[in-house]
Amino acid sequence: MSDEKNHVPNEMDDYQNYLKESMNGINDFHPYTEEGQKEIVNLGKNMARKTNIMVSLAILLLIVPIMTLATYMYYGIGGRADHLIDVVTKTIYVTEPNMSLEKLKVEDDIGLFSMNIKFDVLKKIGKEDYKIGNYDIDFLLDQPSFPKKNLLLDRPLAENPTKETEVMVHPKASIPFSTTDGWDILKKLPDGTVSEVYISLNHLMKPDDLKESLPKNMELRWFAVDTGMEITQEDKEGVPITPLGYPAQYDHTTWSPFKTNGESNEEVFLDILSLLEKNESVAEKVARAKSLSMSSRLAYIKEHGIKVYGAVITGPTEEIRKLQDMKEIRALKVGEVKLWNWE
Amino acid sequence: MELGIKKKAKHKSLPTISGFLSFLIALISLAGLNVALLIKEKVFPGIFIYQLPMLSIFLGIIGLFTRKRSRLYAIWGISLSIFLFIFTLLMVVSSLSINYKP
Repeated sequence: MSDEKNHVPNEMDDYQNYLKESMNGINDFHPYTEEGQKEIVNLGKNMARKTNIMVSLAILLLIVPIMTLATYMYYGIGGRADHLIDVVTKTIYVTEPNMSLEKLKVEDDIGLFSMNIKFDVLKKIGKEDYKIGNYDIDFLLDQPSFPKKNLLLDRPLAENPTKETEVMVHPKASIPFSTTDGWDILKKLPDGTVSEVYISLNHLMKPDDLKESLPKNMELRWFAVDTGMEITQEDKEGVPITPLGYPAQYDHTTWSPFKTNGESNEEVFLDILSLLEKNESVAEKVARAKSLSMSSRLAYIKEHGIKVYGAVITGPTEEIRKLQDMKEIRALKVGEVKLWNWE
Repeated sequence: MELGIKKKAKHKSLPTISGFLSFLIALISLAGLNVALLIKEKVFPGIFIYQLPMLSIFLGIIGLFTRKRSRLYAIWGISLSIFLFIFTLLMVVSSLSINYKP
């Protein structure tokens, strides 16, 4: 109890001391004049305004860099952009007969949450690869738009394929074009030109058997593979399909999927189909056919093996004419023709 | 109550000149970067992503070494400049991992 009594006066002393100090402080305190007060208020206002402007500006200026960085990170992390480019380029190899590209020359342009890719496509006619146009594809994140194509072909394949526009036909399907027209065109073409032709076979063949049965002085470019849907030429929902196939030759182009190291083109073809099966929505946008039915067609190929019903051949026109004597060939359609380059 | 101020405490809340300059230079760098991004310039101008942010950081650090004035602008200047460096680094790394060509 006595402790408490002693303690209370001490607190009172401290308080008194504090009051004295404060009073001394007030004596030191110099009140501003009205003008001085206005000046301080104005200074505060200006400071607040300046800070607001600068901070707002900084936040606004951060928006574009942050969104750009986010886009780059989205496409860069996990190789998402490379994967999309891979799917697009491989789709072209297996859905467009005798068409290739130089993957090394694929150009990309990353925008805000979008990517654009551009590349040239080539066709080998005779001994030379000709640039036949370009593709321009926009992606919104990982969803592609329909490609903008600029193809410089004399006889391009139908952009919206139907049964009537097919150039390679299954042995059990009816031929939608005149079987004599192709041979007539070849007869009227002068010697000294090189041609690209699409052939349809009388029966399904193994790729090696077809290679062996062809005359020597020409080059087999692309096989159209039987995938179980070529008789009806449409998928289960009735949507037209286009051939699936693969290049017949080793491809020397840098980064081509068919520049294989010991693997056969058939194995690469199956690998590509597996890849496209997992990325079918992208592949269907890039391919001419709006249905690829990849899972059922891949299952069919794995069950029945690779058998071809059509092919693309190129060579001197006079040599191509000799195909008319081959009993394996049911129909022929002429593609592109170029000046002599076969030496 | 009357508005007044003790003699010794003079404009304590005002930022330093170097802090202000740091913030301003960082904003100029950021504006330059925005322009480069919007016009899709392939190679970013080095002045906006290296020289100016370096100067901004230097001035910002000077602005930090004060007890009597606000460090707000200095902190903003340094933060924006560090962002510019991180942005450049991450963009280089990301670009290299997109469609890389030897």
